[in-house]
Amino acid sequence: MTTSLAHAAAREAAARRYVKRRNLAIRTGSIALLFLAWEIGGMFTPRIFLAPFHDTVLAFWKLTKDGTLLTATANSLSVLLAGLAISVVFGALLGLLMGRYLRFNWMIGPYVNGLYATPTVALLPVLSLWLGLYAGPKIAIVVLLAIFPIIKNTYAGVITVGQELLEPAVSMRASEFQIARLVIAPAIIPFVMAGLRLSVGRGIVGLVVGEFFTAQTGLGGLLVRYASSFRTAEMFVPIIVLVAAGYGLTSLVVLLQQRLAPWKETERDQGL
Amino acid sequence: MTAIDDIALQAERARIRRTKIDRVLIVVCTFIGFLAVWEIAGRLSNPLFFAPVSDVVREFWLSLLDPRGRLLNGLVETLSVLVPGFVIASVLGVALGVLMGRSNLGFQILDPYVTIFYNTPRVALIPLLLLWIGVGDPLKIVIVILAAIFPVSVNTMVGIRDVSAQFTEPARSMNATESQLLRKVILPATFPYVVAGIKLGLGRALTTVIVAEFFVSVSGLGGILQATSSSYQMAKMFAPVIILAAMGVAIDGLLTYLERSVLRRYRS
Amino acid sequence: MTVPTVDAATPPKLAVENIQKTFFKSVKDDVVGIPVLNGVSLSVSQGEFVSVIGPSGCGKSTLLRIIDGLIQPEGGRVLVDGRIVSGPGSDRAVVFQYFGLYPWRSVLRNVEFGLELKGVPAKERQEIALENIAQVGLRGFENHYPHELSGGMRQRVGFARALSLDPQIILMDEPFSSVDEQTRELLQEQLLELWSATRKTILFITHSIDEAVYMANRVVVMGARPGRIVEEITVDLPHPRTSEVRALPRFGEIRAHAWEILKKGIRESAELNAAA
Repeated sequence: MTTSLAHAAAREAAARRYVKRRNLAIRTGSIALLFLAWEIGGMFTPRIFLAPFHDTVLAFWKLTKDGTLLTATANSLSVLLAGLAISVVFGALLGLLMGRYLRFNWMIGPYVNGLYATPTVALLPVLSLWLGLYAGPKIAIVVLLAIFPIIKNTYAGVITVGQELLEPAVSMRASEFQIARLVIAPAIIPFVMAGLRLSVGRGIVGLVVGEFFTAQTGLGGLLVRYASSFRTAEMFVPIIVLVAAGYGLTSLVVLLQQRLAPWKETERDQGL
Repeated sequence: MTAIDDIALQAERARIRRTKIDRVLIVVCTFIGFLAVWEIAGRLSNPLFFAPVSDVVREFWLSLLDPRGRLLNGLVETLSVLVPGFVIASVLGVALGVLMGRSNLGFQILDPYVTIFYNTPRVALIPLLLLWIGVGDPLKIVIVILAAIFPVSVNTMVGIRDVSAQFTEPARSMNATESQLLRKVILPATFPYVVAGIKLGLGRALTTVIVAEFFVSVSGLGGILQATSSSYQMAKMFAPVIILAAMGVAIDGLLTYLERSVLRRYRS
Repeated sequence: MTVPTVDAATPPKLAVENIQKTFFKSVKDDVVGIPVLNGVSLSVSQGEFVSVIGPSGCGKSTLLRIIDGLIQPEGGRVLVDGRIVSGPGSDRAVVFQYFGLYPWRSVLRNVEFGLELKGVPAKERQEIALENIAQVGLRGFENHYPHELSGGMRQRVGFARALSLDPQIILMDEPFSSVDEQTRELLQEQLLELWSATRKTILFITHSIDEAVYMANRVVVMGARPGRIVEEITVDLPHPRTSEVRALPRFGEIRAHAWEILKKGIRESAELNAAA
């Protein structure tokens, strides 16, 4: 009886291992195909259109060694992180005030909604006129793209902080300030983080556009420079770093989300 | 007893009425204040950097009245790539999403690509595509597709995977075929997700097409923005911004309405 | 309406006098009022355990919130020791149906919460909290988070939090309705033990007739639409209440009587609704 059960379990485990390995093989094969096509395509295409994949790998190595890539990445990341930090602080604050004070919501809600729906990159030309050529317009455009998901999510969080969290505190005679600090602030953290998760991707778009069209610095600047001189092997290097930065930062936010609000995870597991 | 109820009811009615009036007053006053600050700041500042709202409105109105003017032409140019690009992206995106949601093989093959492209800032591909496709409408259409397809496909996939057994079990027990299950149960149940994906995708497409027009800078609303700002025509520069904001808000409002009316039926 | 006779010298611990409450609902462009409570009066003496039962929608949870001061009534008043209640106070504490715990706080910090709001120094409130956590049998779980606990354990945290505020009256809003049957019986026993040890005044809302009779000295039966008190039944069952009490013929009689009244109330309100 028990041995047959053990057998069945072992069989099941083996089957699961097989499926896992097979899936991994398919995924690896699928992505390897892309690089293979890139390599072969690059060999038969004029270099001004596409260089073989191994040239990009070499370019990556060369740009890393001479420090170009590091400088550009540091430059871009500092703009991005500054923009995201400003967005989190002011986005959370505005969302909190909008959710808590109806009149404040009436005042600024229409503008927040309008700007969220507007392609705010359209403001870049005027921002670069106003804020000069340094980091100013870049940070501003990152904020203009990144802040709205945070405001909206925080607002939604404050609105959904239900009676279930407010009633006990009111019953124990919490003051308005205590409710804000001890109930609403911790309750909205997961919502702020969910907003930030959306903001990372939008912020990177803002960053790249800023680097394209104001002073050409950072990864976006490198990209434009290589593109305009047809250095196709080098051109992919900043693109790869940007994809990695987007993926890395988003994963970091998810990790932070799980650390700061472990209860949300369980709630999702239980389908609540 | 009825007297108390009646007084309370009157008080409640009055309270709701007051709230409504308050809301209108606050919204209108804030808007007037906003315009006033813009006007005064515009008059006080250097005309090379900022324009009062009255000038902006006048310029806007004049360019709307001129049927051969740049603004309307630009709008038509932008829409003529946005609409076809977006239709293609939606159809392909849903197909891709269904493939990934229903077939493990499809998922394993496509998922690495979707993960990469979902995390790629779309605008970073513009210089590359310029090189490959050259300046012109095909470039912009490809860019719109690249910007919009992934939100649609990812949402469709997630929606399909989330379809609850509450929906599929009755159909299965009534001997639905695989294709019936997909057409009659799974896709309708996934519809709200698809609408949400389309909303996200359209927003991204709009942003990306403007950036592409910044690059090419001869056509479309983005081109007008580039041209007017580099020649310091502040009042003219705000016209495309207003149109883009209106477009964004209109698209968003329409899809939000669709989302809500669909969701209402799905709740029950 | 009968107003309970109040001895001028010693007012009852809790007096509820002629409470009126209406909820408003938006219907298109207008609002309609729905009477929730209509002339509810009740008197509870020190150390009494009173259950309130009634069909859903009879306003029993609303009544509890009015007594706590979370909701203001349109008419009538609530008195504790003869003093009018105008809002939540430290003489009353609520145990909520949904537990009312904060997911980002550990068990200890949840139990400390009310004391923290009152400004009790950290060391002192920790002492009080630990004592009450031990009293509800959760020693060793101080650093767990609510999402790691079962429903029954979460509700015991809710108890401990109410107890640590040392209120005179504990208001319980269907506290066991979200836990399974076995856990429910264990929690009932534990609550009865705590009650006989502390002699707090308890107002206990439930939708289970069995639970109402088993726990209380007195069962208040409410009717719906509008919510009102239909009858009060004195439960003359012996203490301590153990599971044997449930087997007594008298328990069955009271239970059957309560059910009759409840049914009558439901039927009457259906007739009232039909007439309206």
